[in-house]
Amino acid sequence: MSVRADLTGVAVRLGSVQALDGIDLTVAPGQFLALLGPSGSGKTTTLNVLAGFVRPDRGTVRFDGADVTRVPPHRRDLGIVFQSYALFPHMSVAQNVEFPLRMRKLARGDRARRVEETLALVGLHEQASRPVATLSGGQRQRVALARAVVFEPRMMLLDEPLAALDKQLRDSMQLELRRLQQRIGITAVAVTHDQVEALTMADVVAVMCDGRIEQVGPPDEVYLRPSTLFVATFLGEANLLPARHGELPGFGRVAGGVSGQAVVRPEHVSVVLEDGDEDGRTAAAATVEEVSFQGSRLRVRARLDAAPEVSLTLSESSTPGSAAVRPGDRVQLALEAGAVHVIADAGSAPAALEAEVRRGG
Amino acid sequence: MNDRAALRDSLRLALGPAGLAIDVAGVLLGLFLLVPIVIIFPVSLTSDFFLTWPPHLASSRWFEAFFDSAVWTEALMRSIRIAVPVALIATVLGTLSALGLAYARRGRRLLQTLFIAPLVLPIITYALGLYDVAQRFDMTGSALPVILGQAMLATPIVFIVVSAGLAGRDPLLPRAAASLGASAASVLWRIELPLLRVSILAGALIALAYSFDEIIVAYFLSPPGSGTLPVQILGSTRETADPTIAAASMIVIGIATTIAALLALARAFAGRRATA
Repeated sequence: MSVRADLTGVAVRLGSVQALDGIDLTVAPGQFLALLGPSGSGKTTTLNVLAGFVRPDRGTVRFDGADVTRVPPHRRDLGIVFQSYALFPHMSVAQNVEFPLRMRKLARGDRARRVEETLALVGLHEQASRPVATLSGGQRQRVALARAVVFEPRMMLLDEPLAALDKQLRDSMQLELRRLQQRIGITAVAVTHDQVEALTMADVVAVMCDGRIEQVGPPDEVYLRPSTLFVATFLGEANLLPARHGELPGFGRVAGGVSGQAVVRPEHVSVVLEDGDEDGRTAAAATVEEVSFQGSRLRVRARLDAAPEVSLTLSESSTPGSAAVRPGDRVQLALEAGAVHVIADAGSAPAALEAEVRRGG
Repeated sequence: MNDRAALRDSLRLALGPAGLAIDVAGVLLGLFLLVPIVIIFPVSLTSDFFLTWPPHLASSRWFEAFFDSAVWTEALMRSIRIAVPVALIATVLGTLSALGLAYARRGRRLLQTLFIAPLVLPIITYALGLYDVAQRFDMTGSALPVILGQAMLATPIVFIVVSAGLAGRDPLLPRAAASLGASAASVLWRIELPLLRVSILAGALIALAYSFDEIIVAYFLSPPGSGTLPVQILGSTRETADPTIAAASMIVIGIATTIAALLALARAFAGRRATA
């Protein structure tokens, strides 16, 4: 049960807001795609368009090539997990999970068997007859999941599925959700504003902003090679340095001749004390401004000599040896080879080429 | 429940000594609301032949007189025969309008105002208008105008009660049900109505009590000599000061109290289910 979903030129206006401004998105069969973005970016609207709750003003929705733009939600055969779980309070755990099977008029025996199997899958078979009101947050989440997959839907949609859980539970549920999705091999689209969650769970991350998709790609790609400044700063922490023909201030030539904004992740910069070895060409002189202890890591802010207007944030392993950095220390900052990604200025060659391709397509 | 206790505690702290004054005011208000019953019940048990106060107590004579008199028992039966269809009509219409409004895309505020408008209508004008219409259709001899007239006034009550119930449920439930394959009809029968059961029952009981007690529409539209119980009480007070009137009033109050008790039971039952 895995479908390929295509959104083509989908535009939605909600009141006076252009919630979706012509988005194109493809979800491959069996893929787990995370829609990531700040609130108001259009990610939930995208999910609602897939679910059929919102009918787009323009554009089409296709499942396995068949146009479903005008198919109502109850005929789309999608398993949806809502942020509030939306469990039916007047039914038991088992009745909630049985509901979609009942709607499909399955025989009683089949229903009972599948409810049991699915509850076992999420580890809730012992709670089957309990009213949902007595369950904990994590258990409700599992019931919602079981209810969304028990009828082997064509696709699973998750709206901020873990937002209502506390942090520890959320971390374990991210992996569990991922395992479950892979085990049943279902296509899944999840909405989240939590970048770590998106990077952890998804095969593909689509970063959204202002009703548009900024970038679609595997987690490591969108993180390491963001195509826009928005993606760079929204996903994790990014140091932005001006790059001129591949040269960064203080570090020298690190990237091929592109001009624009260089994105340097904190974990790719490390501190070398001034009296240390200085042979690396990618080391730049700097002064430490601030050091804060964060458990396993130290967060260091340092000002580059070559570009005093730039403060770099970096994270250092807080092992006893390296914890010697203090504010005011003169240090060398070393850049990990190949870790610099430059977002080309608009108007420079690669960006112009991309724009042309987009217009052509 | 914990939230409510916390709220109460913080309110009490903030009020300080004023809290005591509020408690006293609450007890006084409760007594004030009970005064009618406190007066009528002893009068209905009087052994005198007239409505007097203080009554000479301890007699069921006037209750017996009530049930022995065809005039009174017929009035009671008429009241029941009118109140039941009124409650049915008001419940169906009120529930449907509450549901319809919950799903309405636009004009929600306007429709809501229209739906509760009958509550602020000057009922006497409304009753006069209804009387005129009933005459045109030559229906002044039937109970139908009273039923329709009261149903119109009771519908907003059910509408308000059911709307409150609707507001209390997760608005995503119908959407969740639809995503799981439920058609609009299934959403209504398997999700909305079961969840609203207690609100609908409450609305129906209040509509029933309303009709039982309603006098203006009943007075104008009842066929001559065959009014509902309140109409009969009103008519009798003009002619006599017979304590049967007090007994009749007690019966009206008794029915209202029974309905209120049923309501409380329904709510308690629903509360237990929700937390069971």
